[in-house]
Amino acid sequence: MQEAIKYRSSESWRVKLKRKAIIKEIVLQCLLIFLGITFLLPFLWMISTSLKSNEQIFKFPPVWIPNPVMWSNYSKALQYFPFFRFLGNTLYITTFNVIAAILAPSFVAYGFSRIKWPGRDILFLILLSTMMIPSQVTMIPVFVMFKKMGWVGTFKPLIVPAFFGGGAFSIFLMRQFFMTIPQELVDAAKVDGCSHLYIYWRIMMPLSKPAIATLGVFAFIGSWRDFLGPLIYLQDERQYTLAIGLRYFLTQYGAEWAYLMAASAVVSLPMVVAFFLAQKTFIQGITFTGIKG
Amino acid sequence: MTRLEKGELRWGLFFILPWLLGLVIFTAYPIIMSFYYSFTDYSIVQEPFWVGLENYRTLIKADDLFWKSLKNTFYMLGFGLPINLLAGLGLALLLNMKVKAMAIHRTIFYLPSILPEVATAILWVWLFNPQYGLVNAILNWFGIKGPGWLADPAWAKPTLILMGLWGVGGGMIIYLASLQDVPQELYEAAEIDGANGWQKLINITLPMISPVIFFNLIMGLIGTFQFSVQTFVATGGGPAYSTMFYGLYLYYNAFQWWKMGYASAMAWILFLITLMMTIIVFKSSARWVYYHTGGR
Amino acid sequence: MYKKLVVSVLLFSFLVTLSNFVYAEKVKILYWTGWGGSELEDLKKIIDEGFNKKRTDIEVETVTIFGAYEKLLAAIAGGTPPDVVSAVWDSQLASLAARGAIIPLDSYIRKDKIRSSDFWPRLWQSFKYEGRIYALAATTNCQFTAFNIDMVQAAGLDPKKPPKNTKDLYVWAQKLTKFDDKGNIQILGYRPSGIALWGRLFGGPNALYDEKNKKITANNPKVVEAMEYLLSYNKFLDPTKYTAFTSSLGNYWSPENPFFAGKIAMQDYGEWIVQFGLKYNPKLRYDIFPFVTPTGARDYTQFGGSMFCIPTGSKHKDEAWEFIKWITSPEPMKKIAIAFTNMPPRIAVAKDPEVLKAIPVLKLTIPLMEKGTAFTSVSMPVWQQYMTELSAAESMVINGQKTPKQALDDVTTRIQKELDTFLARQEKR
Repeated sequence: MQEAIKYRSSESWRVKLKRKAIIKEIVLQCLLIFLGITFLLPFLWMISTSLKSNEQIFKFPPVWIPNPVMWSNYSKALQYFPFFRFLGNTLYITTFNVIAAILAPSFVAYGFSRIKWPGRDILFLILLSTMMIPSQVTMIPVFVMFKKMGWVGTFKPLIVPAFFGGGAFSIFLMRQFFMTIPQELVDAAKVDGCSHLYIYWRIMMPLSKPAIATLGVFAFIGSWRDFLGPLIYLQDERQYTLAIGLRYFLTQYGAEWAYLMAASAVVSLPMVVAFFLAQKTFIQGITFTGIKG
Repeated sequence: MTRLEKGELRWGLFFILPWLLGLVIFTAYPIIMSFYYSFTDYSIVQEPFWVGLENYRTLIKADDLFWKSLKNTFYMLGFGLPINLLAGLGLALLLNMKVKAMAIHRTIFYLPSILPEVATAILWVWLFNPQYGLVNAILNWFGIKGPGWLADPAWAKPTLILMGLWGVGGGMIIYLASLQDVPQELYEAAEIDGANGWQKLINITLPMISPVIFFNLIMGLIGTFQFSVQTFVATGGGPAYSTMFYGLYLYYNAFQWWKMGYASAMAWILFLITLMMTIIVFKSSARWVYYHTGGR
Repeated sequence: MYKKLVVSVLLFSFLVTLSNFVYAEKVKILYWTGWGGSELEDLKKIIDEGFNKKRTDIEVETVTIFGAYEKLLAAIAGGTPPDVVSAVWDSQLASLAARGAIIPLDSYIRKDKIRSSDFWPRLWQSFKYEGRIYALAATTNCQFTAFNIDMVQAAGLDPKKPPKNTKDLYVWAQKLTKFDDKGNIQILGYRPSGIALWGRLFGGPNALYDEKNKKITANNPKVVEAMEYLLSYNKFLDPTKYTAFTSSLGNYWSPENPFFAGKIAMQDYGEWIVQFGLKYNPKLRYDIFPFVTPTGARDYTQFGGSMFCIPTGSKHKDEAWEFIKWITSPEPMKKIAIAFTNMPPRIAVAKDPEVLKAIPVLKLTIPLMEKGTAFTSVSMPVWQQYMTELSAAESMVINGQKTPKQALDDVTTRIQKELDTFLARQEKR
């Protein structure tokens, strides 16, 4: 042991350690860059194809740099399907879902974390176990229910359910976050005679911005890419969202690959932007809360 | 119960009320109703018609496609899921290292999993096009003649597994979050004891994050049985039903052929299967999942 | 006081009348069509000019569900269908009618004196389910086989003497198929597909279903023979190579259309081939011949198309009928036929010189429609499912997973059971 400590404090050991660290860094960087490129390749191919002329698309071996660069593919793709109508529909649904994701899970999570009441833990266990129920089991009766309410063919089935708690996973995440906020703050507020509503809105919410932002971004991404919901509930072209519009675009213009790639790129773009903007909060938001079993 | 306790109970219920209502309306009631529908012939246009066990009997005794879809799904459970879980874990371990520009690396690997699935499905169909696709072009460059990928019944499922790997970032991020929760002192202590990287992984990292591996495993199990947008858009269940998975077949029965009763019976069989598998995993988890108490 | 009351009552009633007058504006009806692309544009123009501008009482909004046909069933099941729909194929009509999803049109047809004798007799039959009429059509299509003249000549075959029977067809298909040095298909000569079609070319129009006894006859020896014929093409067309080839083909509705892009030498088509030729490759020389049979009989055609019907949940049924009556009347039918190059369902319109000039292939298909051997979907409640099962069986046979007999036996048992249960339950309801 003594020998080891002696060795570790010696000069040569530190140089060796440094060299080892540099080699490790280089190896890891190479590995990550190689993997990263394979992950990015499909994207680049998407962009490249979206800018090609039909003739170049079917060239073999394939070319990477489009020549000529067909920017017009983008305007044509957007004309081929009612892009702005689909965008409007998507934004409408997305907005409500983001609002719901900010309000609903935090509200419920407060009841599960900052108030002590009998039966709370049992109900929380039930909440966790609902995550294990495959959605296919409830899908059909929920459709029938919305049908009886006359909501099929409207945006309501895609919006209203989000306000009922916003899903077990979100509530769970929010609760975990609330648990990290010192209880003393709540106790102090209680001593001052503040109600739970006040504590929730004025103390917990402002302190939970990273978690709320995470849920907001999750909801944005989730409802932007939602496919099954619109597929089941929306009717004709006037109601389609981008995700579902894109699919019908696929059948309509089967092998017009340039347009398909251009449209796919446009629909994906907001996700990329949203993710880059929220990247830090996003990864932190999840890390902060931690997901422990 | 004191007055204060009563008040707290009232407040607690008040806060969880939205979820509680949602539980009744969107979970409890539908589960009961789907159980009822599973004993009926129900096309929605006409009222449900009681047929007893007929749907279950037909499914088990006379529906080849049901068995085929089950087989296909188990194929994905057996090959796709482990590959996916391992890839997610491996990537997370790699991205948990302390190297430069890690934020950019993480972003790149996570990005594919948040893109609209329809867009990525379309992209992959194009990438795997046997004649003009990039994948076969690259293989050709190495002198390998690429298969028919999604067009070939023998290759369609492996192709979907490959496509799934691109979206591994979703599971990865959860692993990553838990890796950052592992107390640093444990590693330091191990280093003093002279443990190498492999030993640290086996004896510290994996046990510490085992609850999350467990979580991802259960979610993966359930996910494999769900409707997959990628499959729906990329193959629609073909060719020759080689990608007709359980969730997809259920969707077709319910929302394309409007056999709601039949599909509900399928949903209940699915419920039982996942329940059974979850119980098995739970039981086995006592042996390999390590819950460290105390928290941070 | 009294006076005031009278005045106000008068004023009130005047306002009510006025508002009634003002609000007696056009009834808006929603029409879902299955046409898309340029055909949709043409259709919208015809409707706007011929109907919307002329009618003061009804306004039609045309919305396409191209590629999203399952939306129709979703809308009907969801209880919020459009007022008129033409995205219903002949194969779906019976199953929708049997489930009460669309309404019978008999009373309207009687009231407006639509005569069945004006339409092709076999086509009129296909509007019916259990003796009642559920739809009218504005277009239809007859099918035949088309071939690329240059390719046929290059293969040393005589384009003046097209195949006469199924044996000839096989020889042509083989000679026209070209492989590259790795054995991949470069140009496909021909591959017959669709056991519903070929089963009836082998066994006659009633080969698949015994209507009188309500018996499924998919395993009829003639149909099995047809399936064996389809399978025999595997001898020179390896199924995996074939799927690899077809999956690389361009979109049917584009200049990449495989026939017009020279990737397929011979293919089954309908009258729309004329429009495709004009749009995608006017230089390509092609000719057509009626479907061949083993016996050499050449008077068969398969026809079909979209049906105009009124969903049960429509809120403006009378107005919907007015629109259907108009669009299936001679004038708009002629315009649509020329724009889409389709076979007009009315005999007189089909024989109109202007139509014949625009759609030369009608010279071949009109005689086929006049004969009793033209066939289409059978009016039975599980037909659609029957078709799905048949094509699944076909793909299993081609991929070597089942023998023809085995596959067709399975279909027969399964669909018979479906049909029997459906009929039994319908009685009990």
